[in-house]
Amino acid sequence: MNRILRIFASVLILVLFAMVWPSPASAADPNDVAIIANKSNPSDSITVEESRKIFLGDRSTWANGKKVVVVMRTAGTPERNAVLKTVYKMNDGDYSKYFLQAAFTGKIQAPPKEVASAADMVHYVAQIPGAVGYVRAGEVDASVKVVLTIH
Amino acid sequence: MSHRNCWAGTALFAILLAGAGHSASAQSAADAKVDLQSACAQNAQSAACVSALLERIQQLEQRLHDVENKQAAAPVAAGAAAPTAVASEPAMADAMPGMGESLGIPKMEIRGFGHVNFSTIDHQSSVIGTSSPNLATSTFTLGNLDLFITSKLSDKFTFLSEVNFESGLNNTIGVDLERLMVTYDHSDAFKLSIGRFHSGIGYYNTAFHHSAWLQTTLGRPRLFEFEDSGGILPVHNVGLSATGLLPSGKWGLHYIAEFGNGQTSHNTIDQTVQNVIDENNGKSTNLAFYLKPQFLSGFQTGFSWYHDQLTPTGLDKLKEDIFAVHAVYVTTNFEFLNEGILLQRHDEVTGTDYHTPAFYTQISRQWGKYRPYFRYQYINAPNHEPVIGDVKLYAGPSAGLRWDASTFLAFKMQYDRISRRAQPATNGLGLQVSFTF
Repeated sequence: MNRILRIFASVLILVLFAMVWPSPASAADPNDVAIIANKSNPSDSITVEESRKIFLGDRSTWANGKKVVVVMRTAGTPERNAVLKTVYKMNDGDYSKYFLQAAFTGKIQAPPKEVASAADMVHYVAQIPGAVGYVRAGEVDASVKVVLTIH
Repeated sequence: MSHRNCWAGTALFAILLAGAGHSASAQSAADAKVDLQSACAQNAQSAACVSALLERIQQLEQRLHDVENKQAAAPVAAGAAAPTAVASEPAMADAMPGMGESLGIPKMEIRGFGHVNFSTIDHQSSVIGTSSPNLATSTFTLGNLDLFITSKLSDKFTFLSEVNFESGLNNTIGVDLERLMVTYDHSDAFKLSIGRFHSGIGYYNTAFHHSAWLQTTLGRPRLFEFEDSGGILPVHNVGLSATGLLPSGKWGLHYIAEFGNGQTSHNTIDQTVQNVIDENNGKSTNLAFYLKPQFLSGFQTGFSWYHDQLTPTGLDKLKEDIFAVHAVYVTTNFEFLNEGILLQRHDEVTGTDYHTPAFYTQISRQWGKYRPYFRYQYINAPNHEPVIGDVKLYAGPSAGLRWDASTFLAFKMQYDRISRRAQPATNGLGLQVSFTF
């Protein structure tokens, strides 16, 4: 009986160990979506909740006083859909309505800017000090920095 | 002749290659073209040449197919929808600030909102000033055409205006400048606006302005009805407004501080917002605080205190205090709004106090394109209230359905039952089409 209990306890420990051990899937994947910011941005990392405030326009300035400039991919791209789902928690229709209302209340000046390609996104974020956008992790280069990765 | 056919085929082949549009295959395609031209020249047999061309086309089509499949198979984290081709055309011209502003003139953004109503009630009541005409006839009603204009004047200054074309009960169309604000945006902690704005009393007044499309229901709660429709609150003000976020970590504590002309003494016919001349030297003040916790997205709660002094013609001076509290939870699919106010006026000569409590609660849930909703509202003004005594009791439920036929157009249907003091209850049905453009 004691042997059975020992085996059971061992299996339980192994299962628990496997649960808490970092899985290979948590490592960065080239197809993860990377939230990127200008290299001069003082923030090196942000949480999903913080990214939500930034992308929704609830936060309009960075710690260095630079204006937040959110950049989105054009509608229909997988990266945009991933950010809408994970960060905004909206679909495209909700997104349009939200920013119409935000502009109407004076909360924001205009909806986020849109670019058509990952290369344009990286180029824009690298050029504008307060810019924040996103690309696939495999498309990030040294001209920008990753502040959050969405798996 | 055979050479002519061969060269025509080669030209066709080159066009197909160009259509493929893949730089990776361009080099091999160019090599293949040279090989085929060489083969055609050597054999001088059109049939063989065409056969070789077709074979090569099939190979390239297969290769293109494989590349497309690989692209489509690449997953995107966080469960995006079916992948689509990523556009590659540069769009920096639209994205870069200042583009298209060659004269250096700030770019003007303009949006519009509008709506048209149809309503009917079972009998006429003495309800004063709601969005509906309150006539015992079924009627189509032009809502409003609301033009919303914004402009970024500099990195720190922005401009916002709202011009509203609205119909009156005498069937005329008037124009109202509902908002006109210049805002200095120093930081999240401090933004200062000057001009005409919506008072920061409660939640609804600053969350929804003159657009019916943005609102779930047919119209605003009676509590927040506009002044020129007989509203009981100073929902507009002319003066200064400061807003910002206080250091509060994840609690998201915000403030609103306003200083302005306030409203003139109650007058349902003329403009009650003191746009040009304040009838006294005293200014209205409004101070509000609200929490938007980062850990509970969509939730907001807060209170405000508005103070002013009224000098109604032929009556004693009145001190006016409006206390408001609200707790709301709003997500894309769910809405739960709760607000209450206490409107208190104090006669400075007789010492008499008049208390008007009011509240509303509204809940809605969206399923696909449909959003059923329910609202209950209540206002209880004393009969002898010197300014809004005509409002008396106004209470009852509203239930309706909003159908978003498209992203930018909605149909709404709403039933209202309103109880008044010493009058029979009124039943009404309203239909609305509202849109933005």
